[in-house]
Amino acid sequence: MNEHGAIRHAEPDGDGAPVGAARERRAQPLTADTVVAIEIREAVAHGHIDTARERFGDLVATHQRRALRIAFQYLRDSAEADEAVQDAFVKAFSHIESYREAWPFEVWFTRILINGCLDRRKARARRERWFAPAEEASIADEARPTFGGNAEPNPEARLLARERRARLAGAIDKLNGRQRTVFVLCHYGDCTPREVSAITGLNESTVRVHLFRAARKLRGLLGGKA
Amino acid sequence: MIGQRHLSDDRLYECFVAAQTGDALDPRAAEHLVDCASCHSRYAEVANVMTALRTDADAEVDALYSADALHAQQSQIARRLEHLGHTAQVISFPRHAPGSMSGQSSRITPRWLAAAAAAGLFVGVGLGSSLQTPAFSSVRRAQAPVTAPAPVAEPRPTAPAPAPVAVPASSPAATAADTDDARDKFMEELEFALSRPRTSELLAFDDLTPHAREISLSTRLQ
Repeated sequence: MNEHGAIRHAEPDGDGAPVGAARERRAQPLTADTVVAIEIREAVAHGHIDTARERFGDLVATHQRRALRIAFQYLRDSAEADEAVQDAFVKAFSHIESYREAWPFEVWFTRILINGCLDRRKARARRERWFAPAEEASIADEARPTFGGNAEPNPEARLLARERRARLAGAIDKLNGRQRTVFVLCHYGDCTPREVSAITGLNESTVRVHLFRAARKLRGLLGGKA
Repeated sequence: MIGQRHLSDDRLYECFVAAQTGDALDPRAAEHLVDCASCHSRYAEVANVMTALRTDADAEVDALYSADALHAQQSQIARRLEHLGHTAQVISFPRHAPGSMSGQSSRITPRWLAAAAAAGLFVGVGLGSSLQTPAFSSVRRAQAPVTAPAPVAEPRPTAPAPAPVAVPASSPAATAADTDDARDKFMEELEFALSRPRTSELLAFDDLTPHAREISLSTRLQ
């Protein structure tokens, strides 16, 4: 992982985890999604593509919401986050033969997702260098009605929540690349520092340092309030 | 030492992360949190801030991606996976059907016609501009007073006759000059007739077109 948060592809054991950590991880029992991912890999290897697709649908349903949460925190655009998540799932399926069970499928997939989001952020920065940034996406996101019981009860509460989210998004945007990645993965991706270490290729203690710095900076930017 | 000093913000945050991820807390930090009310309240504040951040993010994503949107995304991913192994279909460049040859020939003919018409127009404009030179205009302007011959016959009794110009009969080129003079006279009569009040409306058009006399003069000069 470089200082902008991009995650390296070449790792010591070929699947993104430090060698020692991978060995340690292999001793642990496999998670359910890892078992499914192994089945999909075997099905693809034996040419049972339809079965593999069907099983992969279960993985999509399991990780979809979490993936959207992470992608949206990176991109702050619902449509672009949607595309990033779709791309990540398609990429994961098309490269499922290179998946190794040293780490859970969740870690491997998150790594693909984060790299895709970072690529999109870079592309957006390049676009905005030449063109004025479009406000349509955020306006459309804010204008979208809320569904279910999570909607704020009245317009004032909605307005306050919107302001709070805007402040938080601005504060997260001010973090540097590594801090942002580590914070988003820990707080919005439900990853442990060890998993973040596996995803990013950083040392676990380095992950913790970045996490503390990110939290301290965010609290400072937000004035101690969320 | 931890039991004596308050926990730093980083330690408090570490405790929060450990509690969230299910990792074991540092026993001394956990013990201090139980004993120290100040650190406990600071921990509660950190936990509140971070929990609020997460709750807000969840609410935002839930609002943006409804159950229908998630289902649509699943379908979209499934569709993309179905087309994953297939190579992209290349659409060939459209060719003419065998029966459309008559249509092709019928389209070519008007093209030739249009090209011929354009060429004719171009040649006509070029010739017209080359014939309407400044020399012609000066000749035309200067011709009337200098070469105005006497009319052979009075064309109209009411029209004033121009002054006659004498031509020596003993000249060697008298015959040719006579012929030219007669032609000039004829032209003068025509111009005179055109300059009458009854046809004055046509003089503007007349000025726009080269006169036959000018053309004959130019031919003679060349």
